[in-house]
Amino acid sequence: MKTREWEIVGLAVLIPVLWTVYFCVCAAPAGAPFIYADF
Amino acid sequence: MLELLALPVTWLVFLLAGLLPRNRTIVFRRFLLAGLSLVLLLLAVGWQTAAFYAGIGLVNVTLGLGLVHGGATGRRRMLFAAGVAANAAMILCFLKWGVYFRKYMLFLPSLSYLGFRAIAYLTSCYRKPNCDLSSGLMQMWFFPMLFTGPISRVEDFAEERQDYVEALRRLALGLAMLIAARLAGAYVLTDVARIEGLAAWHYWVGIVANAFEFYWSFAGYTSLVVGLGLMVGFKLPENFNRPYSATSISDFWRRWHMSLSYWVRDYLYIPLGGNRKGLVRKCLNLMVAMIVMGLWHGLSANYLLWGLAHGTLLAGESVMAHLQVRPVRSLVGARLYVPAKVALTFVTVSLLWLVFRYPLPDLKAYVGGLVP
Repeated sequence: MKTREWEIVGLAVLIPVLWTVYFCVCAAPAGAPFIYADF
Repeated sequence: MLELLALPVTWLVFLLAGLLPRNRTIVFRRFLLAGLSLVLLLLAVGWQTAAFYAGIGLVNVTLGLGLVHGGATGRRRMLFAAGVAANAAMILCFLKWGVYFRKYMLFLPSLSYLGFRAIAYLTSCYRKPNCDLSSGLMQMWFFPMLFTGPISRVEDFAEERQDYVEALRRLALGLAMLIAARLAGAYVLTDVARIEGLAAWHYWVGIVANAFEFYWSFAGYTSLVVGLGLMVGFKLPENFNRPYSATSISDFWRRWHMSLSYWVRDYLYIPLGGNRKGLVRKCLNLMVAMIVMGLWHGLSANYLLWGLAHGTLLAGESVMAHLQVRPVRSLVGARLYVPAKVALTFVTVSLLWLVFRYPLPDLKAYVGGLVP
């Protein structure tokens, strides 16, 4: 496979992992990361 | 609201929106995306807020069309001035009474962003009478950037650039940054005025954690916005370019929240005279620009102080550059000059984030805690 295809495969694996971690550490229980305010 | 940007369902909606009308013109796609943005806003925050945003957008787009087809120069100038003043008044009202609006009337997220985007749009229509209706609606309504920017220009919607791999890369990067921000946030001190007996190093670690939490959360959300934009074919402006590797405060402002700093440069600093009217006037313009930038975040003493401090530092750097004074170089020598400047800039910026973040009693306690 070419580099770009490998990259797509890598992202397809990475994104579900990141989603899982994100929803564990950010979405619950303390809420999303602090961003000061809705300016 | 910002959490919506990270939801798989939001990504799916934008993926489909980018895929479906492949054979249609860019104008059709812009109208479609503007309409989709309003529907998403309606679902996310209710009809009152969506109606308010729709109204503000339509008024500004109508003003833009008036500027394009306005005829005599005097009439266009009056229309432009009225539009800018109305948007500035809207931002001021939001900053002053936003809390009450949210509490008693309707949820109004990020009107400061909306107002600045509107002023940029009107300026484009006034200067270059070629901005069309569909680009204007995207500038005012494009859903991903409604809550946290970037502050786009209407020209950003002029051309299509669809890149799914880059979009996925940006979305992955955004998630990773948000996770990192959450982890850094664990070391940020809260309710500082009530803390007792904590060693000074905790306060210093807190400063670094605060700086990175702020950067990673803001840059993370921005990366998600850019990724969603690429998914539907538009390259939105970048907000960050490794800001903590800046070698001076002026370099920092070329790397941090770039869409805001370039807005202030183009629509405030340069019209005030910029650096064209001598050193004193340049310093004054820098102070005004940074104070406005501070108060854009909210009408509070913290933001005023933060803007004032950055303005003073920028003015100081201008004076030193004018006099060709390089105190850091003479202190550390040529080899360590760049690393020392990066470190000094990072410490300065991070200390000023305390002013940005903490209420004054907490800030006072924090400064007291820094000394062992």
